[in-house]
This record gives sequence, structure tokens and C-alpha cells, in this order.
Amino acid sequence: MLLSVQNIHKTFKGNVQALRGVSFELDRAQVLGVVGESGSGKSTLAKIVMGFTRPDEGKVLLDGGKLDRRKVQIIFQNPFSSLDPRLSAGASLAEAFRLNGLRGAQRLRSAVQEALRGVDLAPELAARFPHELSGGECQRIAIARSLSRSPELLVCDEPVSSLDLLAQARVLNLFLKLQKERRISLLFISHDLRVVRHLCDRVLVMKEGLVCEEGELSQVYAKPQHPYTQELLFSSGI
Amino acid sequence: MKRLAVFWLGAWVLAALAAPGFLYQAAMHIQVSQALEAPSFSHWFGTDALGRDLFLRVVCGSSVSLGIGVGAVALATLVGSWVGAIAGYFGGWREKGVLALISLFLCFPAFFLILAVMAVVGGSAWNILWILALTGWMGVARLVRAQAMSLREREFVLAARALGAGDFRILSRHILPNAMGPVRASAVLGVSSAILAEAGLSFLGIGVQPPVPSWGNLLLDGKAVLGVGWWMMFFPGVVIFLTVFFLNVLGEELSRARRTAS
Amino acid sequence: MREEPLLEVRGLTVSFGGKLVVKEVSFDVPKDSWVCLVGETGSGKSLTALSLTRLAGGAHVEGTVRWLDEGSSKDLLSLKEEPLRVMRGRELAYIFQDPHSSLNPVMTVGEQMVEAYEAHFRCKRSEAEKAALISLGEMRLEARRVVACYPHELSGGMKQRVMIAMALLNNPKLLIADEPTTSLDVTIEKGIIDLLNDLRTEWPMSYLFITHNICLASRVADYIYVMKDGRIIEKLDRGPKGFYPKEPYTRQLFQAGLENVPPKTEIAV
Repeated sequence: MLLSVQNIHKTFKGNVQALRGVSFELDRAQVLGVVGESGSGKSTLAKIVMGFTRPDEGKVLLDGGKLDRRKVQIIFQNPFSSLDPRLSAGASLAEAFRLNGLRGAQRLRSAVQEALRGVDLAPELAARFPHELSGGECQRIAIARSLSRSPELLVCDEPVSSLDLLAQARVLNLFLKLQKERRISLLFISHDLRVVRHLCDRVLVMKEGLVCEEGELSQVYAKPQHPYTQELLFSSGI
Repeated sequence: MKRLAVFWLGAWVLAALAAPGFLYQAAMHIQVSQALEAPSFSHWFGTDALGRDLFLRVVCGSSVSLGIGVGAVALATLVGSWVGAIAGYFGGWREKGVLALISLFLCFPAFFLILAVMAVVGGSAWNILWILALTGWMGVARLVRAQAMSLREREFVLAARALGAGDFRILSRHILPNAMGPVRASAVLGVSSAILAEAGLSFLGIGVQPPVPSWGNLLLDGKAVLGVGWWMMFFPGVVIFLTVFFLNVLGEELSRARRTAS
Repeated sequence: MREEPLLEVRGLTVSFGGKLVVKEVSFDVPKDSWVCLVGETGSGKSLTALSLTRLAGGAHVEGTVRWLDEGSSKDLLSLKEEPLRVMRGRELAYIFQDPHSSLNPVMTVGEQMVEAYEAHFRCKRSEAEKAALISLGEMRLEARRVVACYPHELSGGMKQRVMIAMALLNNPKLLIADEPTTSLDVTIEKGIIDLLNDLRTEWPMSYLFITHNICLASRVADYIYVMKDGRIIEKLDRGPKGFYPKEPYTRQLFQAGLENVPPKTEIAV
């Protein structure tokens, strides 16, 4: 079991209960979708799995042990604010490689070009700045950056919600490719049930900090047990 | 107007850079026979009581006055931005400590603090520089702290943390470069007030000491001979006024450009 | 003989900041129909919607936008400012994506609705207040409570309903909505769409819906116009089993919208 989340509780100031006892597991090369609407706690869950926040109660185990930043990376919703606006795409990528121990201008340059090709982007884009690129391109650069550490798990917090349909499709294709070729697991958080259906093996439905339903995606979508799951599927036209 | 400002300031910056070389000797050249001559083609700004060419002295004075102005602001910005960034990024005891320090420094009215310190250590260009920096870093620190507080939640900073970047790296490569926006405009305005401060202190006699010329002590020289040599106060005064004016114009322009860009 | 449409747009061309953004766009909004204008960011769809009543500041607009109603026809783009202002809000109403910036944070809902009403009808304040309460009730909101609330006290979905209530106060014949449900949760979105459908049965109205979500459009629209790079590249009519796109770009959009795409397969874009 790659990721094991056990009984997470998290309350914020002002008695806002973001997570009230959330548990689930994620295997290698598996994609788990986390669906829910605003206030369900999905973003808090992402931050806790990444180790940006500590839970009040409960544990997160990665590979049976403590969280290791080398094994988990995160992709955010807003592609433009995921990149430092003052650095070119190539510079952002080079920095990631440098942090990983790579040295030498020539080696960094080729690593950057390789990384861009790996996410189906032209190597010429390395010189451009985030404001000169489209949302889809920025998001793919963010993905390339996270791959520099060869993570085993990618936490994706609404990664395609801010993208146009065609850009969204390209990024989804990229995620599929990553799962198949590199055997990366994805914790895919989204409010879009169609996108989750396309990408995920298993799904977790959250409402107001609790897990309503969990299981194999095809089963949950075909025979939803919890009324909230049914409502979500109905509203989405599925 | 902006072009005029850049032209004026650019010219004086060049003068300030050129001055310490060969012009210095010429500015110090005493020729009592030519004392207190009115402006003419051979002496554009006239001469002072010792026959020294006033134009050359003003040019040399620019390297002192501008040097102090820019130097004080540069030092204040360097210190203030790091202190502010650390306070804003880390929060906690570091932030509380910095805020307490800022409040402490703000307790002393800058002008009296400067006077007191100058009375103790004596007037000189270097002393003025660091005392002005000491009374100026707080404003920068506050600005940068506010920027750092909002930047630390931005996703590219979180991404850098996820990639394993250490705090120092994040501060120097991500927080500070992105926080400097508002500092630019306030730095330009800071230079103008530093120049005025130096002029004031030197005019009172506790700033830059003669024979080293500065715009302020040239004004002081001029005061002594006001009746017979109007040009002695006029030209340094006009130069100070226009420099400060154009710096303010630039500073306003910078903050206006920032507002329209965002 | 084909019935005349409510709104007839021909050759609409809009330049903004020196760039040509909308290029010779032509479309119809028939009476009592739901028309969707679908496109990605940069396709010019929002600017098109705003330009219909010259609402886009700084834009240079050319073309004709004919409003055909009760036997008469007017070209909105050639009206003077005052008659156009009367048309806006009275015959055509707008709602936008972000209710935060459309509602004034320092006025209560009631005050804003009264102001909207009084802009078009000379009446007693009590009459305007009554109209506001009725309108809010029709939005399935607790009218008496909501009318006294400030915008920040309401949820996103409620704010959007208030926006619709304000837009429909004066019983317009055309409601132009620019991405009205994009920032809402999917269950809230369903509520708004159901409400809009119900309202249409109660009194005849057409909708011009601007969206990038082609799936949503295919669920609600009678007609879909697809825009790309400032031009309309295809018009789709609702068939017995939905929409059948012919243009490759439209097909790509439907694919990207994951309509009938088998899961875990590569999407053809």
C-alpha cells in the first residue's frame, strides 16, 4: 500500500471542521478520485497528505513510513500561480533539477529540454515566462517540474478545473500517460464527475469533511449507495 | 516631464561618477585673485570666497550628496528588505521580534536622533550615510513584510517547498524578487529625502565638513556671503531643488505605473 | 414562413485595444428559445455578448443587431445612448459569472433591486419593494429574509439567484447570461438550470447563454453556435438524440467534454 490515510481530523480557527475522520488507502500505479463540492474538505486533505499542514488527529503513512518529500509532489488548480512569475519556464524547471542535485549548465539545459518533451511541449518554450504561456502549457510545466523528483505519488488539487476544454483534454491525456509509463499513483481531487470517471480507478465521495462513499469507480457510478452520491451524479447528467 | 526628470538625474549621476577623478583637483584649486566673481563664461556658476569655481564644486558636491542619498537608501533597502522578508515569511517569534524592533526605532524622532548621533561622532559623509540608513530601513521592512505574508501562501512557493527548497533559497530566489515591487517607488522617494536631509545637516554645519564640497555645505558657504555673492546660494539651491523635484516625479511615476499594471 | 427571430445579429465585428476580436459574427436568437454560444477563452464570446448593447467600454463595434418585437424592428447598435439604456434592463437583461463583483457589497439586496426597478419605472418605493419581493420569491428564495441581507451574507448560489431576480424584475424578453454557473458547485448549478427552465414555462423568454462547457450547452440548448478565434464556425440544432457536430473543431470540443468517450482512453484532440 503506497498511501495510507487513517482517521484524519482537522479543525480550523473558528470551529470550522474541515475533516472529521477521513480514512482511505491508495495502491501503487492507482488513480483515486476525490470528489466533493466546496466545503467538503478536499483541499485540506491535499495539504495534509503533502505535509503542508498537520492533522489534529490521525496519521498519514507513505510506504509504511513518514512523509517523504521526495516521493510526493503536488499539482495545483491555478496554473499561473504555480510558477514563479519572475522566472522563465526553463529557469523554474532548472531550479527543480538543481534542488535534486543536478549540476552543470549543459546537463541542466538538456534535462530541461527532456522534461518539456516528456510533457509534450516544444523545447523552445523554455525561454517563455508564465504570462506568455497558456493555462494548459503552464500546467504541463508544473507537472514536468514535479516529475523532476521522480515521485511515486502525485497529489492533484483540481488540476484541470481552470483550463479550457481542449487544454483539459491534453492534460488528462498526459496524466494517463504518466500513470501507464511511469507507474505513478494519483490522488485526483476534482468537483467534475466526468473528469473523475475518465481518469480514476477508485473514487471517494466527500461531503462536509466526511467520506460518504468509497469504492471502484465503475461500481459507485453505476450503483451509488449514498443519497449525496446519487445527487451529484444526477446533477452532473451522468 | 518624465523625460526631463530622467535627463536631469542622468546628467547628475554621470557628473557624480566623473567627479572624484580629475575634476576634484580643479574644484579645490584656490585662486584668491578671482574670489567672488559673478557667473561668466569662464566660471559658469561664478566663484566662491576663495576663488574656487562654483560649478566644479557643485559637480563634485554631487558625488557626495548623491552618493549619500543613493548609498543610504541602498543600505536601508538591503537591510530592511531581508528583515521584512524574514518577518513576513516565518511569522512567529521572528515576526514579533522584528515588529518590536521597528516600533523601537520609530520611537525616536529621526531628526533628533540624527542630530544627537552627529554631535557625538562628528560630521562626515560616511556617518551621515549610515545614520540615514539606520533611520530609514523600517519603512522598507514593513512594505516587504506585507508582500512576504501574501507571497508565502502562493502556490509556487508551496511547490518550491515540496521540491525540497530550503528557507534561505525560497527567501532569496522567490520571496524577495517578487516582493520588491512597491519598494522601488519608495526607494526613489527615499533618495530624495536623504538628499534633503544631507543638505539640511551640512547647512547646519554638522554634516559634510569643508573642504569636501557637498550641496548642503555649499549652501552654508553661500549664506556667509549672501549680500555680495547671490550665486553662491542660488545655484546649489536650484540644483538641490530640481534634483529632489525630479526624483519625486519619478517616484510618483513608478507608483502610478504599478497601480495601473495590477 | 419562418417566424422572425427576436434578435438578429449580422456581421458583428468588434475591435478591442487595436485587435480584431470578433470577426463578422452572425446568429439569430429565436423567440422563446435557449441559444448557447460556446467557445474557449479568447474565442470572443463574452465580447460578442457585451457588444450587443454596446456595453463593452473601449470596444469599437460594427455590424447590425436587430431587435424584432411586436412588429417593429430596431438596430440596437445605431440607437442613441438613452433609448439603448431603456432597452437594457427592460427588454434585454444580463447576468454575469461572478456575482461578487456584480452586487454592491455595501447595499442590501432589497436596496439594489429597488434601485434597478426605479431605473426604469417611475413608481412609489413601496411598489418597487413589492416587485422585488415577488421576484425573489419566484427564485425560490425566502424573499423576506433575503431582501434584508447584504451580499456577503449569502452563498454563491443564492447570490446568483438574486442576480437573476434583479435581471428579471422588468420582465425582459431576452436574458443574456455570461458563464453564470461556471463558478458554482454542480448541485447548485443544477438548481439554477432547473429554475431557468421553470421560469421559461411561466412566461415566454429567450436565453442567450455564453459558456465554455459544451456538455452543459448540449443539455440545455435548443441551438448551439460554436465560436473559434472570433468567428462562428458551426451552428447546431437540437436533433432527436441531441447534437451531431460536423466540424472537426466542434467534434474535438465534444470529445474533450468527455461525451461518449470510453474511460481511461486517450482523448483525440
